[in-house]
Amino acid sequence: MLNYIKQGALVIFLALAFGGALAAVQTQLGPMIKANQKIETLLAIPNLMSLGQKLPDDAIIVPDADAMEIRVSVPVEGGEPKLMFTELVRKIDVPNSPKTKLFEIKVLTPAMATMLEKGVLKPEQLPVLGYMIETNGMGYGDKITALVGVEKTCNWITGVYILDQKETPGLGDKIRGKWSNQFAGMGCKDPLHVIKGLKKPAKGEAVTSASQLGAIDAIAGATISSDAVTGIVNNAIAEIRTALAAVKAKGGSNAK
Amino acid sequence: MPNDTGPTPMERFIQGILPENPVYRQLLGMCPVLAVTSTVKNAVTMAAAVMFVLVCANIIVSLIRNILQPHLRILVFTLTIATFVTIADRVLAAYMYDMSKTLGPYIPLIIVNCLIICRCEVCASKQGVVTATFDAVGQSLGFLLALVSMATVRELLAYGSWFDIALFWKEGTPQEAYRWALMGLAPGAFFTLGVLLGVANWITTLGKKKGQASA
Repeated sequence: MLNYIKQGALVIFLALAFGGALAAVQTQLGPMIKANQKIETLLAIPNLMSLGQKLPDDAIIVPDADAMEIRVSVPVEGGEPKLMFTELVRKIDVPNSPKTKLFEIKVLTPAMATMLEKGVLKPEQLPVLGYMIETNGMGYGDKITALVGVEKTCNWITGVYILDQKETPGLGDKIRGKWSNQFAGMGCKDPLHVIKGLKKPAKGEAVTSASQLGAIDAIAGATISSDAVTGIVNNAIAEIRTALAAVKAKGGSNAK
Repeated sequence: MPNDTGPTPMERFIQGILPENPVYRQLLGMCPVLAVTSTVKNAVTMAAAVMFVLVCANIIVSLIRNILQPHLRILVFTLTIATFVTIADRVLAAYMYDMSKTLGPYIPLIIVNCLIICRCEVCASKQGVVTATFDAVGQSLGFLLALVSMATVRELLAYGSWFDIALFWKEGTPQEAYRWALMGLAPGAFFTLGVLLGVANWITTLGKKKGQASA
């Protein structure tokens, strides 16, 4: 009997000690990991919101996690890098759903900055590029967290970036690569769907069948992961629409 | 405390590096060997994480070996290993975020790396702290050696670089066409492991023959 108690006590003591150690590590490192994730999100935004325009390959993207800004500049030979634009990220509080992580992205070019200084332009008049939402859904292995960007009228997707995933290495984890580029430029009117072995129409050729509209090519060997991401994107668009409508309704009543 | 009856600390240390190399002699921990040896940098990070976990787990298990009942040992080993793997995972995510993203699930998978549970069972649960520490360091150095040798072959052939330093060609130049992309992928890992295992066995046989000839 005493032996059983001794053994039980040993395991309980070890579990408590290890649990304490893990808690200490998490308290110490948790904020740093959060900051790293924030910077990753900011770094993804310029490409996510590029509206189909490709950034130059040598573009320098500098995130500022505290100010929620990203500066994009191009290197100049023998001089300071030339600032192309700054993107300002602001979290929008959505009424009745505090958990929604919706962001508004505004752009600030050097010319606009001078206008701001002179007072010709007010900060709230800066053009809105679009909206971005951080959302998640179940994948094949575990939760997939993605950033989905839409253009300001919410008519088409500007980009999709996978922040976190634990899909099968070598198959499902391809959702992080070039594959998710095919979402950029897709319309938001109808839900997207996945087609296995999709043949993209050649350049200049018209889309003939209705099924090719809004079709996403599945990753070979990872249909579930492909379906999951497409589902997440469809949900994200619906979520952005509802959230923007809610914000607008509340904003309208506030103005009175 | 009972006297140590097994090999001495120095013997354990030396054994782990080459004569009992975890990868080439014991064929343990094949998952990271195949999965994260596409570049030397990944391999070194992986081996460092394994070293941290192995040393800590061996020390803890060795300290409690006298009060540990045989039927509880696997439970306690797993508990210990899982704790240190989680710590390693968090530390990587905080200080080397990009690397943690690249290695992805393979860091948490160290929990099921049989090299660690094997060393806990074979050495740490039977011998003192000093021996267990030397054993852990020796075995992880052997693991590092194996991972780096695999990664060197694969990175040179697939990317023409070593530790991310371009050696044969610069990125974007026409010479990039010489890269053997397959070596960076899963089949390349199997080819390399097969060839290097063959070489390791060949060297061992040569050594044995010499020993017989002289005797």
